[in-house]
Amino acid sequence: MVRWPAARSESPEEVEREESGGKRQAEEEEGRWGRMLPELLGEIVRRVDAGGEQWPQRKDIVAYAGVCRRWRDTARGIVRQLRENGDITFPSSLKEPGPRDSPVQCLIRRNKSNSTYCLYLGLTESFTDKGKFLLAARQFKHGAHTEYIISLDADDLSQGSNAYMGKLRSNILGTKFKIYDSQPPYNGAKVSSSRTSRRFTSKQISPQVPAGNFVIGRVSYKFNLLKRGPRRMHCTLQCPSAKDTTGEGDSPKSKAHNPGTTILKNKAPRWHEHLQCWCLNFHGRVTVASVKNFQLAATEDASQPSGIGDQETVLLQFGKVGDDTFTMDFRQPLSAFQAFAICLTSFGTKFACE
Amino acid sequence: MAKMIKLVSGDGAEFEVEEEVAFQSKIIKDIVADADDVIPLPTVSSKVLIQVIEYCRKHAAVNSFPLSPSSSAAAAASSSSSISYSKPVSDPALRAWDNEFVKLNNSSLFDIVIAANYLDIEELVDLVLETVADRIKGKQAQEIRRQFNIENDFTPEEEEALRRENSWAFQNN
Repeated sequence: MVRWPAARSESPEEVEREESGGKRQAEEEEGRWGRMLPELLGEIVRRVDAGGEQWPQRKDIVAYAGVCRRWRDTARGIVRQLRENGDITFPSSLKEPGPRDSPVQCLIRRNKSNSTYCLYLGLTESFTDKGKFLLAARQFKHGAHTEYIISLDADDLSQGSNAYMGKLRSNILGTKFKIYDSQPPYNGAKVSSSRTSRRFTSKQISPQVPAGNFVIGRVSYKFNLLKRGPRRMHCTLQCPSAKDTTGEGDSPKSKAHNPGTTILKNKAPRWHEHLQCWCLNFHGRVTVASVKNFQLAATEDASQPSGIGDQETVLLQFGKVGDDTFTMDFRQPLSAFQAFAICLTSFGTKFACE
Repeated sequence: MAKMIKLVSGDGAEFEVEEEVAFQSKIIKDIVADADDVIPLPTVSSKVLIQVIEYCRKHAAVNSFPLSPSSSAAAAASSSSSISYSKPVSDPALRAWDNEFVKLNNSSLFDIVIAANYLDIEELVDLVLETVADRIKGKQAQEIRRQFNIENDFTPEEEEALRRENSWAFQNN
């Protein structure tokens, strides 16, 4: 019989087992699942993952990753390997770039009574199906400024909570916005505000990450003098390059990175000669005309090796499909968090008229 | 007369089995190739070896006389276990037998995982790992820990972050 390393001092359950016999076996077996070979644990994770490609089944991977350190390491490693295409598994996935080839389709639901916006991952084609909850935001007025606090918990929207993900802050006119991330975009970043916040982050379960707010993007609006055309949007974002894989226990080669700058501008509608109107093709994902609707394409793209954006591919699309329901489709190099923050600015501009 | 191989468990019990049964284990197959018919398996207890032999006997019979081309093709085509996920066993009767076979407590299951991995019996590794995955799915971390007797080695701060992560994953609004 294989002898396993002796366990630590006995818990009440172990004492009970002792009394009923099999003491040595219990001691030997205590914790051996937690110490299983990483390769075998990896194979188990793969099978759990294979059954849970969609939400809500994906919560099984999160449960697996919460069992003990070794299980967590293998889960994060396997998910990183299998899910390079931007799937959302952990809260930290919300700050990682989306997929390269096709957008993630999300829904934003607005609750006017408490100025709250909730972001959901779309699980079906329908705009009325619930979806998987991702993030919540609430609008707060600070004097003349407006802020949107972004959180993992729709019931807990304070900066001091461990659910806090970041915020959006607008200037007085509602024409310029700054996006703040609760975590630094890269090692060595300086904290932009000394406001106290969390003791730890949800990205890495480690207390070493400095608390604070880090500017990771800016959005500005310029309005057509004629007030008839769309607003002109300009976004600058710090995005990790697509090869970046930050997180716990990652390989050395992925660490030497700097964030790249991505610059997005909204696509102008084209004049449709036949229909005699300005048109933006939202491919069925936007069904209600609104000045809030937009499509953003990149002039500079951190995920491209050249750094140049093709100005054609829509990297973020936002638009109305119901009174308080909007779609949000995004792809790399944007993360769900960044996309959500940019969409919130569309609610925040004062000159919107629907 | 079928060629017999002798397997010796860690606690000294000897088991004589047909070659094709023993060869379900790639490790044994490789050792026997060096003309050694007595295989000591010091890390496998007799209790576990009996169960493994039972599995191998059942699967050797099927692999030699496949009911469908796909089951033998799957066995023949199997190479490195690092890429493969569980290949479904095509014969429903065999599948039913497998499901009965894995009706074991977690402790026995663990022993089989280790032995099957050590002996490199791919289909058995697949079967037990799939069983473990099924026992994990649908449960929260605490329940998994309880069921598999795993120590929670996270710090209190990490625990708090994990609680947040789990409440997000299991959120139902």
